[in-house]
Amino acid sequence: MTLPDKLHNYLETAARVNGDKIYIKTSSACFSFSRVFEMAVFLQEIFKHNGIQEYDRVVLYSSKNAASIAVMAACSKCEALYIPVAAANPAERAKFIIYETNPRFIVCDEMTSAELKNLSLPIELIHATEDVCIFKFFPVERDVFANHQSGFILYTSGSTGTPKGVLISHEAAIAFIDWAANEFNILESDVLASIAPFNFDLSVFDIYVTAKKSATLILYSEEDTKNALLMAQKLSDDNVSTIYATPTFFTTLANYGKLHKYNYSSLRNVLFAGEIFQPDNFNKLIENWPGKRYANLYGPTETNVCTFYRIHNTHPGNAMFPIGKPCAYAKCKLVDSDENEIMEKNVEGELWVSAESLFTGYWKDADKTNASMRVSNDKNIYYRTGDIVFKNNDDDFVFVSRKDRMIKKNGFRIEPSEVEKVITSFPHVVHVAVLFSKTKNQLVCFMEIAQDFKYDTMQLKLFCQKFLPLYMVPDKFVFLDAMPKNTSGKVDLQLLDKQLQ
Amino acid sequence: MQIKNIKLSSMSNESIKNEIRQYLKESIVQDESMIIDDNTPLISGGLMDSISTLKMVGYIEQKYGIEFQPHEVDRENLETLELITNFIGSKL
Repeated sequence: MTLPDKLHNYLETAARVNGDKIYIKTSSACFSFSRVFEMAVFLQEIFKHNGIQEYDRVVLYSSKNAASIAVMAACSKCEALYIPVAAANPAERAKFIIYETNPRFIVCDEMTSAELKNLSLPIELIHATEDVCIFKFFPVERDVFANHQSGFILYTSGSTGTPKGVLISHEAAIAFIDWAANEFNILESDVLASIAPFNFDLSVFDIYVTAKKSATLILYSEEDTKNALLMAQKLSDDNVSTIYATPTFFTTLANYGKLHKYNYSSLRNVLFAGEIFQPDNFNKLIENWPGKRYANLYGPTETNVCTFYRIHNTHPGNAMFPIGKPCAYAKCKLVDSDENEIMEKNVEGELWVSAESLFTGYWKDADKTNASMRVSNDKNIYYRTGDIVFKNNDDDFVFVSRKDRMIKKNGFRIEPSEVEKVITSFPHVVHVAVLFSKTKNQLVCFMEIAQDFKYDTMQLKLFCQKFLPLYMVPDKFVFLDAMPKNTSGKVDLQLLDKQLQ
Repeated sequence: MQIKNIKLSSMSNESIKNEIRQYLKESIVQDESMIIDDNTPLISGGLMDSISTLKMVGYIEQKYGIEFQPHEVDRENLETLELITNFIGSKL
C-alpha cells in the first residue's frame, strides 16, 4: 500500500471509498466523508479565487467543528499551512499569532469573528456562513520565507515570553498517524472521541487516524469536555471506542464522572499523553473500566509521540509509569551534561529524539530551532527534549523531571516566563516570578508591586485572561514587599520554590 | 426522603449561602481574606476552574443530599453564590 504524501489524502480516499459513512459527529449534526470533502473542495476554490499561494498561512481561529476539518484539508490541497488557534484563546493571543504568521486568510466561526472584528486588524470579510467566516488579511508586507514546507503550525508556550510556533510537515504528521492507526488497531467500526482542542497535538491523532481508517470522530466542545459528569454520560451514549486525552481528563472523569452509572462496553482503547498519570488516579479509572487497552504515550509537540508504554493492570505502589520504548519511527538516546551518550541503565540524563515525526523548526526562529537540535555522530538530527529520564531494567524510559522551568499543569505546557511577561506589563508591577506548586496543582505568582499601590486577586485574574488562555492564569497571587534575590541579583527562584513546596 | 426534608426545611437560603462561601474560601480559593460576594463571577472570573467546579458539585451533593444532572453543571447554575444557592434551593 502506498502511503499518502499529503494530509488531505486520507479524507480524499475515505470520501471515495466510504463516502456515505459518517466522519464527523457534533452535538447537532453529522457529516459524511463526502460532505466534508466537498466542503474542502469548496473552500479550496474560495482560497484559490482570492489568491492563495503555496506555503501561505491560514489561521484557523475557531471552535471545534466539521468546517475546521474541511479548512485543514483545503489548506493541504493548496500546499498552504494551517494554524489552529482554539476559540478559548483570548483575542489578544490570536492577534499575536496572526502578526507572527502573517496569514493570507483568517478563518473564524461566528463567535470568534466577532472577537476578531474588535481587534481592528487589516482584514476584509470575503465569505460568511454560520460555521465559517473567511477574512482576507492585508499585512504591511507579504514576506517570503526560506522555509518552503507545507503542513501546519501548532503554537505552544514559549520560554522567551511569547508563544512559539512548532512547524510540522505532512511527512512528520503522517509518520505518526500511520503508526498510531496500526499500533492501536483502529478499525472502520471505531468511534473516536475528540477531546483535545485542535491546537493541541493530540488532535492530530483524532482527525487523521479517523480519516485514515474511515472511522467516526465525535467532536466534543471545550465546554463539554470540562464537565466530567456530562462526558461520562456522552462517552457511553455515543458508544465511543477510542479516547486519546490527558491524564487530567481521565482523572477528573474517574473522580467526578460517576462512571459506575454507565455502560462502556464499546470502549477499547484508552490512550493518554501530556503529563504524568498518578498511579492512584489511574487505578480508579481501571477499576471502572477493566479490560481496556491502556497506553501511556510520550512526546513533546516538537516530536509528537516518540515513545509509548502499554499498561495491562492496576499499577502497584507509588512508582510512576514508564514512558516506555521508542515508536517504530523514532530513535532515542540519553546524554549527560557534556552531551555524551549514557549507555548504563538507571542513570539519569536528557532525552534526545530523532524521528520521522520530528518538527521542521520553530516558526521564523532559526536560532531557537538550531539551539534545540543536534546532529549526532550517526548523522541523525536529534531534538533535545529538555526532559530528564533514565532507562530502567526493562529498557523502558522513565520520566524524572524538566531541565528548565517548563511547567505541566493539567496536561498543558506552560512556560512561566510567558506568564511573567504578561503580568510584568501591568502598571506598578516591579518584579514577578511564576512557579508551580505540585502538591496543590496550582500556578502561583509571586509579585512585588510599587509602594502605595494594591491589586486584588480578581483584578489580576481578569487582566491575565485578556492575554493568556485560562490554563495559564495563575491560581494564586502572593504579594511580597521585596522579591528575594540571589547573589547575581536575579530573582531567587529556588528560594521561592522552597517556600512553595 | 422524609428525613431529608425535615433536615433541610430548617436551613435558610442565607445559611446555605454562607456555608458555600466558607467552602469556597477554604477549599477552592484557599484564601480566607478573599471577598466573595453574592455576585462575584466565580467561573468567568477565574476563581473556579473545571476541576474545582466539579469538586464543589461533589461537596454540595453530599452536604445537601441532592443530585446534579450532568447538564446542570454549567455557568447558568454555578457562576455566582446567588445562583448556586438558588439552584440548591430549587432541588430541596
